[in-house]
Amino acid sequence: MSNTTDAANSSSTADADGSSGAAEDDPNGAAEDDSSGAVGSIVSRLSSAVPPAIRGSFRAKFVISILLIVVVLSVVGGLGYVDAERTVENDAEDQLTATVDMHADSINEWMISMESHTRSVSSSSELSGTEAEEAEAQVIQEQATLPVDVREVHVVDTNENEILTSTNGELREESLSAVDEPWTEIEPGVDLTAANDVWHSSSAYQSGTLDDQVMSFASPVEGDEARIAVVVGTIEYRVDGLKQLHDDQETMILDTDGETVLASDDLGGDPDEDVIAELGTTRDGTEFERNDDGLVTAYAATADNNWVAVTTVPEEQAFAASSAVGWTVLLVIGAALISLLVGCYFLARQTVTPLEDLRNRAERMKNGDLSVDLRTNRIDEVGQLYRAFDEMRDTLREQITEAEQAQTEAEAAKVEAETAQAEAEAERERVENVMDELQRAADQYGTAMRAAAEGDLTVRADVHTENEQMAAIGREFNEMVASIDSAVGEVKRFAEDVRAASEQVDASSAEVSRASEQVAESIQEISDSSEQQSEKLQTVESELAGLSASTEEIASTATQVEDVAERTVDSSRRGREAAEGAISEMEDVEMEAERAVETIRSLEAEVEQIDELVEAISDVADQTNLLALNASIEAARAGNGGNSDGFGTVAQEIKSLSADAKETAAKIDARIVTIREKTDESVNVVEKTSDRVEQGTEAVEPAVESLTEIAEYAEETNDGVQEISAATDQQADSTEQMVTAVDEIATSSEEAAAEAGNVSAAAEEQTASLTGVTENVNTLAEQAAELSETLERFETAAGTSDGGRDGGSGTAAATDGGDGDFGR
Amino acid sequence: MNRNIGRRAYLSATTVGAVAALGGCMSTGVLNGETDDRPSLSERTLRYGAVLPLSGELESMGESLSNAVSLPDAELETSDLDATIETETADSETLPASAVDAAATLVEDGYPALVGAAASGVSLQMTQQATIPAEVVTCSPASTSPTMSILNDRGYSFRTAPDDSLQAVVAAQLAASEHDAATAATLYTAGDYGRQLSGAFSASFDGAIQRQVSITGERDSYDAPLSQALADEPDILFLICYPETGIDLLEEYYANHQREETVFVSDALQEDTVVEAVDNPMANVFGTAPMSSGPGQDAFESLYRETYDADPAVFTANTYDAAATLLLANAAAGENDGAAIAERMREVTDGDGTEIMPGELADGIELAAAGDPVRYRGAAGEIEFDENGNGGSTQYEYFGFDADGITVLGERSPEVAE
Repeated sequence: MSNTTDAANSSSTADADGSSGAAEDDPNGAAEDDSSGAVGSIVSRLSSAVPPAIRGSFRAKFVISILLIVVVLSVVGGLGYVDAERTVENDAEDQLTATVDMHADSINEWMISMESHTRSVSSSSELSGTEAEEAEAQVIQEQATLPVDVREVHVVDTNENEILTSTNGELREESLSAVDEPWTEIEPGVDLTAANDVWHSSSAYQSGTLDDQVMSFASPVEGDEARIAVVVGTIEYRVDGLKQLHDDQETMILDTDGETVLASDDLGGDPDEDVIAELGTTRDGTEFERNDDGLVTAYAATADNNWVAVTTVPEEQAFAASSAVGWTVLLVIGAALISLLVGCYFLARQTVTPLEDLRNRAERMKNGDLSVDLRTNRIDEVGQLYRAFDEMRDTLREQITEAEQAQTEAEAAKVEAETAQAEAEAERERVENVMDELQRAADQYGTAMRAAAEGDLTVRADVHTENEQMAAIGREFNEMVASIDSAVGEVKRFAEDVRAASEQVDASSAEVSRASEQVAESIQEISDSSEQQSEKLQTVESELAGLSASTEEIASTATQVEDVAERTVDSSRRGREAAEGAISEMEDVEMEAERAVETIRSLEAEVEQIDELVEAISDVADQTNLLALNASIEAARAGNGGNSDGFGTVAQEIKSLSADAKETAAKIDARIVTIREKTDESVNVVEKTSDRVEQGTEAVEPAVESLTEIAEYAEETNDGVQEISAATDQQADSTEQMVTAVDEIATSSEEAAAEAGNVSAAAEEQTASLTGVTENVNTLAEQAAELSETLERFETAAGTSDGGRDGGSGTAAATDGGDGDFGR
Repeated sequence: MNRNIGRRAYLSATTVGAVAALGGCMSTGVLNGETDDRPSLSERTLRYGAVLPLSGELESMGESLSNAVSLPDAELETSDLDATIETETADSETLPASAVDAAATLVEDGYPALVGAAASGVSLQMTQQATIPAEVVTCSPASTSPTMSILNDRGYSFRTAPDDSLQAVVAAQLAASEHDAATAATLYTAGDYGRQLSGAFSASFDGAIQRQVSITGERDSYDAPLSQALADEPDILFLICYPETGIDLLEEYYANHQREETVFVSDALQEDTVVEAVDNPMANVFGTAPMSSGPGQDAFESLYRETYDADPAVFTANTYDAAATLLLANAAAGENDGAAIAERMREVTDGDGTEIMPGELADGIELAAAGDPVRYRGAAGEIEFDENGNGGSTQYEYFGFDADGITVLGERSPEVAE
């Protein structure tokens, strides 16, 4: 960019030698100049080829440089774009190929697994030579344990050309010819040669309950050549599970003959048969093709069959990622270019435009126009440049202004000197006039002052003079004389006032004196009445002493009552004890009576026992009597016998004995009755006694209670009396206190009387003092009169004209002062 | 120059704005990614289908099974559950091919889980051909064949009916203990169910098995198989068939073949229609059937009676259990997706979750949908699926016939010696 330098010079010296070109130098030029000398020389050689029109314009150089950068960026970006798109396309290809390869592997794997399932079914011993039923159970269980890809399991009996059994109930015992399935066409020994051989249908076909794409596999039953185990498997689950990369991707399996083995949908276009044949034969590898009809096709061989998995995808879907990447790269390049251009545009505006502007203004300055506007808000290098120019211009302008000012000042000084000379002449003449006027006024003032000094305070100086200071002095003098005049008048009036007032004071003092005497009298009266009060209080005191004595008497009476009450208590206590003794005695009597009753009762019981004995005797007597009767009857019966008389006598004897016994018993009985009655009577008497004792006891008990009550009352009385005693004591104390108080009051009254006497004396003293005051006032009045007379000497405008012109030293002093002032 | 400064300010403002907008987009994206993907129950539609024998060999079971499978739907309709329930029952015609078609149609209609099918042979084909490849969950309430256990089901096939290998053990034990049988013969309807049960019985019976005779295809007379089975005068004749065959066979038996043997029948003949149709008191006929003895049985029975005004029949409780489990697993999965539902099947029937009884499905669904653990306590039996997807009762009832119908004589659990 340092192409402004002279072609002959090396770039390192370009700045030093540059004269007119230096102003246009690019700021970047310095930086570039630091680069190696070799590069520098190449650059300088190149720069010589640039036409002068461009070399002379910074703007042109700037624009051309930017355009060069844009071209380089575009070329590099374009190459990057192509490269990126190719890389992504290759990725998409690889991915698609990998997918189709995975499909091929997955199908191959499925085939292998199905073949293995078929072998495992056919090797089951339960299928070999067994009844249809056992075989059926076996296939059901086999199917249950196999993955759900296994749709059906059949066992075909080739001898009978029928299906021996199947997991599908509808096919059991069906003839092979009635079933339209590829596996019904199997020829043992042709399709299946070895025991381990597995046949499979050449392609997928629609079948099964769910009408889906299946392939059938068959293998001879182990140990039973006539039977074939057929396994029908659906490939749909496997195909559904395969990942499809794109929305419209279609995949199918073809064999080398171009026959479709498995197809979920039709392919988007026709695959290349040669490729399929090659891959199908080698059973290995993948292929990728990009057709003209906007379709890409990927191929992959299966490892164990001559099958090829083919997938087709519309180009725009396959390479959707690559075009997206391409667009992104383009966008990045475009954005870079646009931002470069925009950035440079603003950079140019920031540098080239202000540089041109500055150049134009500098030229205007060169032509003498110093009013050029060089202000800017910028603070960068351009701004600093503007400010440097601005300062330079200002410095220039200041120096010019200073020179012009100096010239003007010199001229003005000359004119001033001439004027000053003329003024000096005029002044001298004026001063002379003034001096004359002053002389005249001073003379006039001297006359007036002398008159005033002589006491004429009505005189005034003439102030009509040209000299303002002299006029002022005149006026001041006049004012001074006027004030002295009025002051002397005032003093005169004041002396008069003092005399009048002194007389008034005299009168007032006499009144005060009279009042003080009245006070003294009143206080004397107070003193008298206090003494009377004191006497009365002494009477009260003696009465109170009397009261105190009577109270003490009451107290002693109460003590006597207390003794009586205590004696009552003792008496009643003794009465109660006696009564209680009576009660216990009576209780003893009662107990004795009860014991007597008990004794009598036991006597009664014994009497009853005697009674029983008597009754027993009576019974014996009765029986004896009966015996005697019987004996007499026997005797009568035996009367004829001879000894009847003996028997009869004995009987008679016994009879009489019994009659005696009975009689005696009856007497005893009567006695007992009598004793019993007596006993009862005794009991009654004793019980009555007991009752009476009880009554006596009951009668005494209230007496005891009454005595107790009396004792209580007596005690209560005692308490009451003691309370009275205490109360009277208190009362006595109070009376004493009262007496003391009255004494104190009396003392106070006496003190008051004494104080009143003191006050009276003081009042008298006051009266005496007032008399002194009156005298002083009189003296004052006299002195005021003297003063008044003294002042009569001055003649004032307000007062009379008497009072001569002698004295007045104060006035004379003032005049002297005035002379002093004019002595200059 | 002022313009230039303005431009710079404009450029920086634009850049800041663009960065802020980009940041906003990114943060929105991140937030969306982080939100809980479990939808609220009110936004959900829980879907389950059913493939049941509404016609064909097992038609007699059809109505009660169909009732039982609709019972959860009816129950939830009366509850205040927020979610919508969609259910559809298709006819299997008791044929594998029809069941496969029916299941395929339901799968196409977007049902992620199916109750069914009933007969083992039907269930096997339906699962292998239609539901397992489509990754749709099935839960059979009545397929008892052991083959179901070995099914290569990738975890999509379940059942709430017990494996017949257990029923065979119970029947063999009863034959010996209750009837002192030393010899036995079996007569079974051809197919996976009959063959497997016959085989298992023969293996478990502690005595001589004289013959295992199969009945194949439709026929007018059962004279031949009966003669064949009874040829050596066995103590026990074990009859394994579905009701339609069973009725004809028993009539033939009483008409021409009855001797002193005892007849045992399998669960499939525990049907009132059999009693009504056979013109004999059938005093020498006894049978075994899976018993509904789960903790939820009482609740289920009263719910069923209340809703249909009828008594539950064989496998109805199992059917309700199947539908309830599918619903709870669906709620727990949070989406109508077979794989997600299959993953939750064990979780909602096992463990320490909140216990849910029949009749409490609304609560269970709400809890499961909120991600809380639940444990459904089955009506037929504790579900607790094993690794083969077998769940439900392993209790059997021992029943007998008389003129009035079927009488339950006792309960038995298989005592598996090995």
